[in-house]
This record gives sequence, structure tokens and C-alpha cells, in this order.
Amino acid sequence: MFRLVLFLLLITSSVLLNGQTSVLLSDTSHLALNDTFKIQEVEIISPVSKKYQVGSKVQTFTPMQKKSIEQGSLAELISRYAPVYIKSNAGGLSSFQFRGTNSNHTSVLIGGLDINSLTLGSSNTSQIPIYLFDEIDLMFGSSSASNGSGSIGGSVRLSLTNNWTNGFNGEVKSSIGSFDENIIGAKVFAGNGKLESVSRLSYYKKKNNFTFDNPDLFSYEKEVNTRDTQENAAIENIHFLQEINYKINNHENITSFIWISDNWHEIQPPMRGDNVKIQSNYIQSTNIRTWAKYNGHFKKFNTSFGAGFVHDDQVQNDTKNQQISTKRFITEGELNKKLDKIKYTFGFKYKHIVGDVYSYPENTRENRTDLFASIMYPFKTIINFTLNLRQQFVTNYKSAFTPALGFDLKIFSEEYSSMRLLGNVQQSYRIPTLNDRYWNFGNNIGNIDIKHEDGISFETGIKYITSLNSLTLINQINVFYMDVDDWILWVPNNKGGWQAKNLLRVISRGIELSTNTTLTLHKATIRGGFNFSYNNAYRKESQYKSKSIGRQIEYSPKFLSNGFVGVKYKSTAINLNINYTGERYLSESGTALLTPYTLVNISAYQDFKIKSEHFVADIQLNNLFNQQYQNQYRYAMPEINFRCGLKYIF
Amino acid sequence: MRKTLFFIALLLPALFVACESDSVSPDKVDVSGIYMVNYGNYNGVKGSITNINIETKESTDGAFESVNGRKMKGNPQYAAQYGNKIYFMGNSTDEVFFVDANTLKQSKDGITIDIEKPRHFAGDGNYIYVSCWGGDIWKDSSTSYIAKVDTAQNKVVKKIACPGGSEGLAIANGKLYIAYGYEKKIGIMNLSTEEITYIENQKAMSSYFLKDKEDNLYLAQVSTYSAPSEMTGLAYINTKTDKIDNFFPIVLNHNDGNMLSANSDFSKIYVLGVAYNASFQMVGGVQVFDVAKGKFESSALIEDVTGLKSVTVNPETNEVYVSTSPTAASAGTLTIYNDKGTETNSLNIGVTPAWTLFIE
Repeated sequence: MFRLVLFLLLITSSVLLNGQTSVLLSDTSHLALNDTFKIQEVEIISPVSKKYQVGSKVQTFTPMQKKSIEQGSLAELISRYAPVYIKSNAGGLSSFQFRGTNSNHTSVLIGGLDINSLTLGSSNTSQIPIYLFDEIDLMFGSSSASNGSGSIGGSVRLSLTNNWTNGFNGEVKSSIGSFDENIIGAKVFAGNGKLESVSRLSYYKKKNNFTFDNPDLFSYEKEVNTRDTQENAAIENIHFLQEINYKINNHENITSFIWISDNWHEIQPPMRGDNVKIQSNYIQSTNIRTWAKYNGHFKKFNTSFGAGFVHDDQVQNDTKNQQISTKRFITEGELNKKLDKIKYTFGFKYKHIVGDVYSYPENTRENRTDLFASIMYPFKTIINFTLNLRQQFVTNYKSAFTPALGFDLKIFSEEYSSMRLLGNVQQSYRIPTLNDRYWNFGNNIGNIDIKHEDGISFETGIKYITSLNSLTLINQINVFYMDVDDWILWVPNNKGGWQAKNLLRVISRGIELSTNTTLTLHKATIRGGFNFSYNNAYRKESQYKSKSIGRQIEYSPKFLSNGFVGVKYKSTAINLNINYTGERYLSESGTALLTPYTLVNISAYQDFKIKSEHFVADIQLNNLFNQQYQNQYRYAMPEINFRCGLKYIF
Repeated sequence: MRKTLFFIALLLPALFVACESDSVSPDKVDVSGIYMVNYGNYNGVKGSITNINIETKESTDGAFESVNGRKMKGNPQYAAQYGNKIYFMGNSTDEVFFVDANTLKQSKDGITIDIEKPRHFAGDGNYIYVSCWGGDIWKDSSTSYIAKVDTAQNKVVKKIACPGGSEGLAIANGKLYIAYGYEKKIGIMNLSTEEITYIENQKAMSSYFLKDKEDNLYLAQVSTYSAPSEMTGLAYINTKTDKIDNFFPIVLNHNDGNMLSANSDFSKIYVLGVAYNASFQMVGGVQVFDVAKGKFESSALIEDVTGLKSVTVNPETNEVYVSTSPTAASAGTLTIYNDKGTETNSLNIGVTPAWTLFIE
């Protein structure tokens, strides 16, 4: 009964508390070190599911890192711990910009599903709550041969682990934060060791009415900006994810999930210098994503077969006659085997796509079939080679053949240290979005003849690991070069609207450094890490008249870095995190730059028990030094803000 | 351990580069005295000034930002030199503000009190008269007014009701002439009494005036989005009699940019003769009015151009500057023609380029 009361209390507390809380600070998260402390892993040879992607840089967020922003979004997690620029406003919209590419050059994968919108080709990272997932990996650079269309700049994999729960356990967490932020999360695991049910819930609501210095209200006489209050930038998201997993035997199992989300956010208006009352503009999107997979044997092969369905639905300002709806049905099969030392796999993926969008032709349908094969060849325990091949077939559309070659060479390996050289060459591509081809409304017209984007990338890196008694140090350097041709842009047409065209050739090259250190001293653990990236991404050629040939591409910072240090002593932890985002061009035509900014965040948590009940309390202070900054031009961002939460584990 | 130290040493320089936090100044833009004032986009890009350097044949946007260290607050509906200042009629922010005409430096806050949706202005002594819509004029044409601004005090000293959607203004023969975009009339305000009389029953709405050397006025009478008319053209107003002495028909649509400009000896008037196409783009050309003959030349300076925004004659060279931009959100082009109509230069300019200024 006590547990039930606690459960209900936590569920309702954030709502109740917020009614009494005046706005002080806000949003985002911060860190608390976890019991299962682990240094940040930046794996190049990846876990089993990624074993054929040798030579690619993969970053797996540690449990500690995920816990530090436990009730935040994927955008918050990546911007703090990875050298990836997240373009965002303070409202409910943000997107990846991996290695100078756009958001539609990054695949977001869960199970056999690529959840990127079929109409836009990208995902809104603000609408992916990390609380739902057990593992989150970033793959840097191209991986179209492994992951299919769109994986040019990078890819993100969201994973659910199979615990085969035997019994009943779970947790419920409630947080409140600045600007009327309420968050509720719950996980319930139930099973008998063979049949498992895992339910996950995430609810997020924020009024987002922060104050800021408005440069549009600058006084030339007093030489100061005037304080202003953000309006019409509220967010309300709810996600429910249900897993049902069944272990047939130790070699066969069936896993499945359904993820239902309902996201609502007001489109944050830019800063203004007048007193005109701006009407609320809002977007409501509903997503149903489901996937079921069988893992087992077929004759002498390890095999897996999956099937799923994704339904995305979006409408703006309740304009029902302008519904944007897509459905896709997916099946995937894979056989793999080890022959002597050589591992190989081959398979297929089939998608049937239905576009039900007010501006598309009726009965917009498309079939996409992928055939793929991979081989891994280890040579004398010194070097691993992988070859990935993929050919996609699309209805009435010529797609690309994408090969990829990777290697992992051991330079030396000693008792306390090792060094490896890794690299890969990848062909990549992106099938134009449905909007690029089928949109036809007003004077804005898609282009049915548009070609797919075509890229090639080269990458190499060195990874060096030292492990002494109380100190572990992992360092990594990667350099990359990417050349993407037929880059698609929407440009003005001769009807006064916009049209999609293959216009650019973009080169992106750079260097990424990362280091992670763990030091254990008696009962204290000190942990630090640092990521840095230099990325020169520019237009090499343009078929559209442009002054910006050779210049850094818009919203792509050349310099990006983040670092963190955390100390855990017994059941208390404190962590400091610093993020630096370099200057960014605003537009293709202008030369104005957004000013670089540095954000400092601090957090702490305390594990404690009341009677035998386990609780975790945490507090986060974000933008500690009250930095005034713009991530996106003319969109206000919050100053110092807080979030605090209480978790009950049962 | 040495290898570890080597790696740390390798990373240290990166740390310093990454943590560099110098604020970035806008690009340095020289001010040459020829400017394109770009409206921008009402709900998007703010207004800007493109500096035109004729000697180097280069254009650089961001002149206002370069001088003042920040972008323009709003979108300039109209801008013109008056004395040693350039006054801007700013929308979204609704304000009247000015910069030094030679340096582009803004030193005073814009006037916002009693300024709502300013459109145009004309100056007389220490005052400028600002036509304001005063609200959603397309819903209620009675809201418009003239704001009398004391330029020494930098504030509105009087609001003069002026229903009908006051638009372009001109001062001639000691009177303020008012064009109306929502009623078919022309207003004449006595500057002493501030009473307004009208030339009524016009065939079309009107936009902007152009004053000739005799202090008489040419007025663009136009079709508008809400009031199309087949009787558009140039009306010639005798400011002594306040009668329309002549009318020269030509297809004209209201355009939020300079539509009329004369060469230095006032022998030719260049007129932006445009109409909306089916896609609501301004398509047309620059027609040439021969003042002596009192008629339009048979061949236009340019024809069948999409996205025309303004035409202005360089008073020193008599070259004709024509600005275009394909959409309301895209950067434009300034094309320069000599007085024979031959293109001599083409320059990139800002978003929705509307008014070219030649500083005296």
C-alpha cells in the first residue's frame, strides 16, 4: 500500500508542485553519477549488432550519461556528450547536423525501423525522450551500406535490451523545472524469465515562458537590450512504449514493441521588437511505431526475421484539411553464418510506403526493396576487414549501389595499453524525400525527376587505451573527408514559389578528438572527458548562383567541443559539464555570423532510503553563468534554469 | 605512460582553440553613399542596407549592422534622405528612426509612440509628415492618419486623421499631397491650418508622387490587390490649381518599392510598369516616359521581368538602377543600365530590395 501511495504521489506531485512554483530557471538537465559507473565509451569496433561496421566511429552513451539527463531529450544528450551540433530553438524543434550535413542526412533507427519522417527525411530530436531507451549509439559518418538511404552524415540507434525479467520491478520518477516544466516517467518490468512485459511512459510538459534580453528592443540611447518574455513556445509530449518479449529457448526468441507518441508544441516565434500579439501556431504529431522480430536458426544459419509498421500523422493549427500522414509497412530478413574465420551475412528489407498528404497526388504509393550482404575477414588477429554491399530498388526510381570497406589494424598491444588504426571507405546515398518529389501546393512544387544524393567518404582514426590500477585513459583521433554530390535544395522557381533541385556538391572534412579518464581514489571516483571537433564543410560547386562557394556552410560550426568532470563519493555525486559551440553562418546569401557561446551546467544527486524504500533525488542547474545566446538566429534561449526530481525504485 | 602524455599534449592545443570565446563582429562594410534599402521579410529576415560601391562594382549587404553592431530592428517600408539624415519607416517594429546619412550610425531610439504601420514621409523644415495606416487598413480604411514629427524633439507632436489608407506623400507649393491606397482620392493638406481637402472621384487608387522642376507632381495611379482598376497610369497634378492637368495611361500596380524616378534634367521618367501574374508575382518592365513629348516611349527599358521591385536613376550618371527579387524571402539583384538601356552591371543585394538611395 505504501508503495502504491508513493507511486501515485510521484505521478501527481510534479503537477501539484508546479502550480505553486514561480518561474525561476528552466529546462534541461544535468548529471548525476550512476552506481554502475562506467567511463564514456567511444567504440570503433562496436557491439555485436554493429560488428560489420568496422572502421567507423561509434559512440555509445554510458548509463551514467543517459542518467544524467534522464528525463531530457535526445537533443540534450547529444549536445552535452558528443561532438555533434544540434540546431535548435527553445521550443519543441531541434535537429542533428552531423559533420556538416543536414538533419535529413542522419538516420534514426530503432529495431528494423528508420523512424525519420518520410515527408521531411529527418527526425525532431526534441521529441525523442531518452528515458524510453536502454542504449543509444551514434555512428559518425556515412553508413548507407549498413543502414540504407539517408545515412550520409551519421546515424543514431535507439535500443531496448532484453532483460528476461523474472518477477516484478520498476520505477517512477517525477521532476519539475523552471518555466512550468513537469515531467513524469515510469517503467514497469514484469515476467517469468521467459515471457516479459516492459512498459515505459514519459510525459513532458512545459510552458516555456522564460525571460530574455531582446536585441530587437535595443535602446540606442541607453545602449541596452530590453527584457522580454517568450510567449507561445509551450510543449506537451507523451510517449508510451510497450515491449512483449518471449524466449522460446536459449537460441530462439521473439521480441516486439509498440511505441505510441503524441507530441504537441507551439512553434516558437522569433524575437520581435513590437507589441503585436502573436497568434499561437502549433503542431500536433502522432506516431505509432511497432516492430516484432524473431531470432533463431534456419538450417545451418543464424537467422532473424522482423516486421513492423510506422504511422506518422501531423497537422498544424488543427487544419484538418491539411493533414500530413504517411504509413509504412516493413519486413526484414537476415541469414548469417561463420565459415572458418569468415563471418558473412545477407538479407533483404522491404518497405511499402503510403503517402496521404494533402499536397500529394492521390494514391501516392512506393515500394522500396533493399538487398544487402556483409563479410568480415580477420587476418592473423592483426587486422579485421569488412565489406558491406547494398542495392536498393525503388518504384519508378533509380537508386544506388553502395559498397563500403572497413578495417581495424592492431598497431601494438601491451599489458597496460593498446593502439589501433581504423578506417573505412563508404559510398552513401539519400533517396529524395516524398516532399522533394511529390509536393504540389500553391507555387511550391516537388520534382519527380530529382536524382538521389550521392556521396563518398573516407575516414581513419587512431584509438589508444591505457589502463593502470586506478586510472583508465581512452584517447581517440579521427579524420574524415566526405564528398556529397547532387545535394538537394529547395530554391525559388519561376512561379514565385519553391522547387527541389539537385544543386550542390558539398565537401565536409575535419578532425575529431576525444579523451576519457577515470580515476579511482579510495571511495571516490573522479571521471572526466572531452570532445572536440573541427569541421570544414563547404559548397564545392553550386548550380544556383551563390556567393558562398568555398565558404563554410550555414549552421555548421567549424569548432565544437564539450567536456565534463564528475566526482562520486559513496551515494553522492556532483558533475560539471561545459559545451562550446562555434560561430555559424546564418544564410547562404549573407555574411553575418551567430556568436559562439559556452554553456556550463552543474548537477548533483543523492541516493537514499526511507525504511527499506529506495529513492534518488537530483537537481540540475543549467546555463549556470546566464549566457545570452542564440542557437538559431533570432530565437531566444533560456538563461539560468533548474530541474529537480525524485525517483522511487521498487 | 609516455604515449599517454603524448596524447594529452596533442589534445591541449585543441582545448584552447575550442574554448576561444571572442565575440564575432559583423563584417566590415564601407559606406560609399549609394545604398539599397532592403525590406526583408515581414515575419522573417529583418531589413538591411546593401552598400553599392560603383567604383569597384561591388555590393556588400549588412552595412547597417556593420556600423551599428546589430541588425536593423524591423523592416523598412520606406527610406529617404532628409537633411543629413536618412529616415526609415519601420514595420514590425513599427517605428520611425533615422541614421546619419554619411555614416549610417543610429544614435537615437526610433519613435514608436503614435506610430502605427508607417508607410511614407515627406519633410518640411523641422517637421516630417508620416503617413500611417494606424491599424488593419484592409479591414477598416478609416484608421489611417498623418503623424507630424518634430525632428528636433524626435517625437510625434500631432496626429492628423486622414482616412482612406494614406500612402505616398509629397510637399509641393507649400502643401502636403497625400496618395491613398484604399480610397480613390488625392488629399491636399494646408501645412498652416493642417486641413485636408481632396481631389475626389479618381479612377484608381494611388501610390507615390514624383515632383518635377516646376513643383508640380506626377502621381502613380494604380491597381491594388483589393481594388483592381483598368484606368491606371500617371496623373499630372498642377499644384497651383490643384487640378489634374493630364493623365498618361499605362498598366501600374502598387508596389512597395520605388516606382517613379526621373533623370537629372527631368526629361525622362522611368516607371515600374508591372502587374501581378497568376502566381502573384510582379511581372513587367520599366517604361520610359518622355516628358517633353508627354507620352511613353514605344519600347521599354526592360520588359517581361519577374520580381521587379524598384527603379531609381543615379542623379550623377543618369544610370538606371533596377532591383528585382524572385520571392518575398529571397535575396535580390540590382541591375544597372546606362541611359541607352544597355546593362552595365549586376550586383547581389538583400532580401526584397525596395529603395535605392544616392546620398547628396
